[in-house]
Amino acid sequence: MPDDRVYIDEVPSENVGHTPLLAVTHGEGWTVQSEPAQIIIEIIAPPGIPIEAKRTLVRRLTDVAGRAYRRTDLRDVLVSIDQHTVEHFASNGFLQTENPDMEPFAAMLQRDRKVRVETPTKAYPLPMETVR
Amino acid sequence: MPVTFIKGPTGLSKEAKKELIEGTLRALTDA
Repeated sequence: MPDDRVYIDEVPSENVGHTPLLAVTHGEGWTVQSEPAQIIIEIIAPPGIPIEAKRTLVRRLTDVAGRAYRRTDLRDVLVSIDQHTVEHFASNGFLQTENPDMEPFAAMLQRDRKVRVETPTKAYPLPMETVR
Repeated sequence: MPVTFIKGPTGLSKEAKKELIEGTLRALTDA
């Protein structure tokens, strides 16, 4: 059961501060820069995303955000992938590993993991929890 | 299951927000 969620958090410029790129790279005086506010995309997801899928994901998210915020310098967009095991997620009061709504999805993950263990490849490597 | 938080400046149009949300969901689904 896919349950992907996206939230846009609009931050007023008075609540933003970051170091300007020029001051960092050329050793000029350090000042706080608030505009244009840089963008951060934080993804909270279960572990096991293959590295090539991560590369594609961050490229696509950066492009999408760049277009939406009309940025030409895509260094303004920072992406963070925070990975947590499935049991660190909960829905409807159940840990996702024990959630009856998630049984079909868990079974699919289990089958997928079995395939990866039996036929690991460079493009489709073993997730870290399987290696341990 | 992935959850995505996008923090950025105020002022996005409704159309830009729609594009941002849909584009993000598509990228997550394909990953």
